[in-house]
Amino acid sequence: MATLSTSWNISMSALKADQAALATTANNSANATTPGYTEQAAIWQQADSIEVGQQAVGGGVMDLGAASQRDLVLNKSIDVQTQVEAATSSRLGALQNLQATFASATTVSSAGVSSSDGGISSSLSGFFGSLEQLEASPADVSIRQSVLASASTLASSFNDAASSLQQQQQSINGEVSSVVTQANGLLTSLAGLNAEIESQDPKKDAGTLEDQRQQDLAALSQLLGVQQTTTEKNGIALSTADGVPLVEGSSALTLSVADVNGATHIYQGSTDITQGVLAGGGQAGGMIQVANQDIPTAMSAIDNLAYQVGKQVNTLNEGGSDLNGNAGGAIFTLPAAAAGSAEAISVALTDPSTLAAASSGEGTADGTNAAAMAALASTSLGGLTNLTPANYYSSFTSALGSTVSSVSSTNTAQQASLAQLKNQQTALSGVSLDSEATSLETMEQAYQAASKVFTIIDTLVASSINLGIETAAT
Amino acid sequence: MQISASYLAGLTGSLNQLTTKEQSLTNELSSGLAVNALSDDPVAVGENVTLSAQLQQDVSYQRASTSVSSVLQVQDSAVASVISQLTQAITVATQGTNGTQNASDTEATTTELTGIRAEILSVANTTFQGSYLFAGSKGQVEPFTLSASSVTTQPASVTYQGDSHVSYLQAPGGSEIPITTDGSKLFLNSAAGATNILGTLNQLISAFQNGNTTAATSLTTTLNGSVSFLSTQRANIDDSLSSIKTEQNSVTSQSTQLIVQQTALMGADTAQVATSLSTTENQQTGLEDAIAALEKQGSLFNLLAT
Repeated sequence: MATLSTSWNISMSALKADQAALATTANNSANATTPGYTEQAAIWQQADSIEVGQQAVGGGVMDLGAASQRDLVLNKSIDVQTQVEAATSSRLGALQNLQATFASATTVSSAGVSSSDGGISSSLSGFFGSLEQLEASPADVSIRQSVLASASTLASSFNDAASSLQQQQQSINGEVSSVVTQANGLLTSLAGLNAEIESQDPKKDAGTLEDQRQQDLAALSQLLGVQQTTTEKNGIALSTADGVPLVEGSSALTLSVADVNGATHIYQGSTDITQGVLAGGGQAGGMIQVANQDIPTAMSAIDNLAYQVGKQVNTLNEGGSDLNGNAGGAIFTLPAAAAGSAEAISVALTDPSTLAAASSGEGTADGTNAAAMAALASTSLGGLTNLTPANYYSSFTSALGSTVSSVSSTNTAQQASLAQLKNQQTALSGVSLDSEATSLETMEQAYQAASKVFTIIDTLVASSINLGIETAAT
Repeated sequence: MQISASYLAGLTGSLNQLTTKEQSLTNELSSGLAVNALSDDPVAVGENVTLSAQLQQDVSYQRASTSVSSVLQVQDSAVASVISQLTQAITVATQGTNGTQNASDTEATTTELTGIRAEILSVANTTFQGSYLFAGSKGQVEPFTLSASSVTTQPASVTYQGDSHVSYLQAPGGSEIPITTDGSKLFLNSAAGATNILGTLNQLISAFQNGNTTAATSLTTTLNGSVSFLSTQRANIDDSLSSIKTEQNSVTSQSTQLIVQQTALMGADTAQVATSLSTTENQQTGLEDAIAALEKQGSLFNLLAT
């Protein structure tokens, strides 16, 4: 038969459990907006019943502490999606700068007025246009002067675009270095957390430590694409997409950045992990893609355009006769090959009379050679994939625009999917003040009930001690 | 679904996206252009580059052809003035051969014809913007020089220092207009259907100097042929001028067409943009109301008895 003291113990266990649950609720409410905090729930268990005289009597409630409401699989999906999204997002940002360099391609000419906006396309047509003027008035020194001026405008358009691309590349390389520095800090912190978590009970969630590790992983996922593997004792091992270890147990490996022939490479020790970072994503992956692929592609296109146009014009000018009856020279100074042409192109001629408007041996009134140079504007050049200069530039801007546009749509889709995953995480792990208020109210009621039971038993015990005589309440 | 503090932060992100969209729509309205970055419409941007290049080519052709047509107009009036000088020479020579002339009349005729020859030579050596018009490609070289004969009985001679090179202005449509003119074909041409104008004049002057009226009469007839030859040449120049005009008109209408195309390609459809803007604004207002309501509602804590 159960005794009064059994009930007493039961209500006491309830009071204890209620207090612990109230503390959990208080902690949840306090951390409602703390980044990385995972909502905790009080875990109760029914205490073993006691056999008293062949009757089972409940043993009250046991408080097993608070458990974080965490879905490790969901968190991992979020990290993976974050890496993918951060890569396209940082690539998109850098690509938008890149396409802004060529924004003059969107300029619309107003009626009858040739627009000169300093862009490559208008400088190209301006240059060929001035050659057409020269064709009509080959001996006119002021028109010759304007051909040299427009040649110089064309060269500066190429120079400006090339230097803008180089600056963008340098600034991205700087950002990659800073990302790698931050990532190193996070890798060290994660290795430290691994060590602490491994020293805890492997069957339980490590709570706050786990929160910190999840937050570090989320931050790292923004920066770097990594693969997570859960190890024994709740440890997490990290490696690059192609399997080069970054964190193993409690030790973190340090990453470094180096410039290899103008391209940014990331190393772990002496291992080049650039391809792995590129494949893994994160801001570093996205930026490396722009710095090592997108910008060099654009650069090589304008290099090629500058080189081919310059070379063809030079060849023609060299084959004609200038105002003094001499053979013309090169109009543009160019490197020996296409690489670096956009940066290096400059106007070699200073004397307008040395423009060879006439065919070889012809007099000053002949504009045939100028006509041949002007006709390059509508000539398909083998070096420009059999396109005219304007069409080559047109297909280049079109291709660049398509790349930006497709990265942008991909990014939008990834953002939506990431937001969806984060909503799921919020629903599970976020603190809802409504539910905290509900638990508070429930616990309050439960506590009141348990204390009421306690008081009544107290009275009962007193009356049993006094053999049924009620004592007056003091 | 559980609403937590971070859920509201997510809504704020959506609000930012709407604001960005409004900015881009407003930008479209103020610039009148739907394409403000390459990625807005990559295909349109590519076409725009090609269209702009064509437009620029048209503008250059207009300028080049305008300067070529000034050259042709100067040539035209030069040839016209040679024709009138020749007509004058014919009148003078006809008078000089009518048989009533005395020695001093003949001398006056000779002087007058010599003056006319000088005039024609000077026209044949016309320069325009520093370049000789009738010297082929040799614009810097005076094409025609008169060398007086050392023997008084022999006619003077005119030599041509220009060349026969003709260069052309090419129209976008492919037609070619000659820019340079071979002066020897105009003034020293003795091929069939043409007359060596300056040579005939030299012989005529020499005939009068030698009192050979028979030769003078026959040479005057030859000059009549020269006038009709030059008139034909002048008609050719006029043809070139009118074909430049035609080409210019067609280029102008092509440019207009290109601009219309470009505007259609790159321009913003104002009504559509305005509609999108208004839709986006409504969306924003709705979202703001939702956020405000969620904020105002707070949580159950507000309702707990104190």
